[in-house]
Amino acid sequence: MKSRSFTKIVAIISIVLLFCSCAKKQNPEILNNRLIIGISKEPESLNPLFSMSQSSKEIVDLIFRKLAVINSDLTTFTPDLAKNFKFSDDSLSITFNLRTDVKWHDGFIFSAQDVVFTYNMHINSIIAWDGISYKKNIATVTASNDSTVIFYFKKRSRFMLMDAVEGNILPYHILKQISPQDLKTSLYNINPIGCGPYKISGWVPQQYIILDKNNNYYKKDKPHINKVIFKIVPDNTIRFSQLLAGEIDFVQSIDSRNYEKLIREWQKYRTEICPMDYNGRDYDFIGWNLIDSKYFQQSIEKYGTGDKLYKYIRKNKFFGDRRVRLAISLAIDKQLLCQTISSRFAQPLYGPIIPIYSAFKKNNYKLKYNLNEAKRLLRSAGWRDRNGDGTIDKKGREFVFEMFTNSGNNSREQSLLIIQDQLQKLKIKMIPRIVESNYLIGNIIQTRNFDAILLGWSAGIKPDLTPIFHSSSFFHPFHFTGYYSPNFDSYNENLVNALSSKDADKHFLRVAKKLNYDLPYTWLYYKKNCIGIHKRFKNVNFTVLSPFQYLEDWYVEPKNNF
Amino acid sequence: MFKYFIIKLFKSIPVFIIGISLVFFIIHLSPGSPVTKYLSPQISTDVQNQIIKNFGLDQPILHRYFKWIRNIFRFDFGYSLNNGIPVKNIIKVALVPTLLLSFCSLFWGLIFGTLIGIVAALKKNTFTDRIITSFMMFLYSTPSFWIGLLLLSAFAIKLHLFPSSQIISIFHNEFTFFQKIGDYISHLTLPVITMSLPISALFYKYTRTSMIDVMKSDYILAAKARGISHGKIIFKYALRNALLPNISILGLIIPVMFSGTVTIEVIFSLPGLGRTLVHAALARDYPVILGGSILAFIAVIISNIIADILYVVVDPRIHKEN
Repeated sequence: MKSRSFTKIVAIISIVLLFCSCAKKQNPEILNNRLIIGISKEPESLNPLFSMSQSSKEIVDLIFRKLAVINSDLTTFTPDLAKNFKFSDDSLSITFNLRTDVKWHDGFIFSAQDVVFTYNMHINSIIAWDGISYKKNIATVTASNDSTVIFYFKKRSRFMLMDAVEGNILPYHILKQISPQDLKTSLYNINPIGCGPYKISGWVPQQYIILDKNNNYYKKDKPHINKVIFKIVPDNTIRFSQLLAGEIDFVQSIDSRNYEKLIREWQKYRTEICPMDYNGRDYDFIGWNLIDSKYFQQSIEKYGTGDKLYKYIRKNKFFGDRRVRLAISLAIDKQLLCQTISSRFAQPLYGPIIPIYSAFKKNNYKLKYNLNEAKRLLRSAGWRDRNGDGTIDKKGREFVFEMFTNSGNNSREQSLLIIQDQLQKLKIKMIPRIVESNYLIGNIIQTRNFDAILLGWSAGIKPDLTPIFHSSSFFHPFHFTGYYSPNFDSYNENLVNALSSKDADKHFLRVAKKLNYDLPYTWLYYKKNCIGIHKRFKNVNFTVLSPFQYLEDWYVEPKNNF
Repeated sequence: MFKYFIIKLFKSIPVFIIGISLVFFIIHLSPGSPVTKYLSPQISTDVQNQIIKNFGLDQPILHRYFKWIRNIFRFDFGYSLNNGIPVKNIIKVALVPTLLLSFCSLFWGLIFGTLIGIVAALKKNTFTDRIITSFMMFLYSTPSFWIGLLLLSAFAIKLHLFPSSQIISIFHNEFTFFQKIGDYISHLTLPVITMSLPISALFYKYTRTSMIDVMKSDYILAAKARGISHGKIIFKYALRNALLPNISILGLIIPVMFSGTVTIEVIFSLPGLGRTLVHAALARDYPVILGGSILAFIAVIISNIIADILYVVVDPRIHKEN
């Protein structure tokens, strides 16, 4: 009896092990020339009209193409679906001569009709395309023939070409059958037809997105990599472990701690994953609430949101005073902050001009750490420790405030604690508050019910600070500091309307000078995009727009061709 | 029995409606909004307002509630606000890994826990019992994410014996039938072990106590006096009664397992319901959260009914008494 049961158990275990070994030995995963990219979450859509997150856009850019692609200098363009482009004599229109050798993944020929259709979809309010602001200056788009498209503009601007080429071109022959209302729930969003170097081969929900090389791609010798697989691994640590274990070939946005570890492993020849980094578009800052939020809300109830701005503004008890903001900015040692987070990951930032802009090199301004000056400024603003309890006070009010940040961001959470420590030297008590992102943005920022927020933005390709500081967006959620300066408004308008890059840089410096004086934000650091990539991939180049912009040029050395 | 099942089911309908209505109002009145993820300084307010309109969030909450209730009775759970995919499809896809994980873990947890519980009960107060009890208490009190990380790091990352994530391989569709089964088994081994260990500890605790009590019973003494074999006494007479507490735990544990899978699904990147619902909750994807809640309510109701039925099967006296 006993021996029979034992035999059964052994038999079952053997079958299970046999199944496991079958799956492992004949797994063709490692037989292909492929790139496995680890991503944290599933894209919301592979339709360029609805892909809003950066990770979705990066995948979409491999499936679709644009008329021209902006280069990493953010000023020049390389033609893509257009053979060439030409400005009219009055500089109010651009003519694009399109390629005639481009085919959609289903074999249809790409034509001017697709470009006109795409523009109409972009400006359709029902679609609510997130890049619609790029199309504001475009009056109309017409096709003169199958391979020529003309974009007419309302006024001259240095962004005309950028405005025209922004947005991936969509296939008219497929999407004409779907109404804009139904497009959001269409199957096209998960199984799109594009004309890019890769086409979708499979999407296993919450697991993988598999892209296959498009053999009909108009650049005949590209791409070199046959398969690109996006593997969805939500946990940062697990994703990083899989990278080191060789289950993933590429991971971006590695956090500072893991990146340091990767560098150590690479330097000791213990891993085949090569660490690489480049300046990204993300920066973190402290946003001060300059106005009294209760008074602001009461004024909105009283006047709505259309009256003179001074009716909504009453200075914040702490940060309404510029001297206080300056004092705190002087007391935050950004160098130390970056070193603590990771000097490879973050670099000190002194103002709104980040390294991706050409004006960055011309900007010499640096607000140096100066604790004594900070203390002097606070004293001159009336803040002193009158009762000797270790916290400065004014008119019976202790300098105790809360600083919010969103949860799940290690560098911000770390920064909050470092800043708390640094402000103690000024006898200011800062209480760190780490809250869920949706609650922070959807509630705290909207109601302006805060004193200070440590947050970050991803800088736009166009240098334009209208949404966050200009008075025209005073009631919008991202203008949460309550900053109001007619001088800034006019400097910023000059920046936006500048016709040449040289002029734009000059105006950007002036805008930065004004903001560095008024300090509605204390800029902390800009971040680098830290990447780990398997060393077998060659000719790897990254740009600020996307690490995969030149993926079609990457290749695997023949001897390593798995 | 069938009549009993139907009556129980009908009695559950008001509980179900009240429950899902509460969930509807709680999530709609909680701070944050599904539009928040689309908010960015780069996106104009016109676009933001259009998104609100497209999502139907410009409508009064009562209007949305009655529309939703009407739709769920037509089995229309709406579309995800995140990706526009029907909620029904999202849940269908996410449910399979969760059910596989939950039931495999429950099965192995129950078998392992019960068997060890019997051994410990029979070796009561001996060195073996103490060792087993200490080990099982260690498993019971250890967070499953920690066990998961240990297993992951040892067997997947270091030894490469099992895959460290996902439920299938990238080229799963190209496999033969047996390779596909093998693929599932190799991907589920570590998550199932992680989840079944604390479950087995729970069943161990109740089986041991219950078995010790049952073994003291008069009818067991009578069976021993009649010279019935030790194995038959344990497995035929004692175990049946000793399993009664396990059945009530089973009724309680099934709904809890839906939430318990979240951690395991995140650690092993399994595309299950728990992970889907957590993402939906963070993004305030109302239709998906509500769809998941409906499923959770159904799971609670059904599992309670199943537990009641199992009680009757194991102990027919309960049926006669009622």
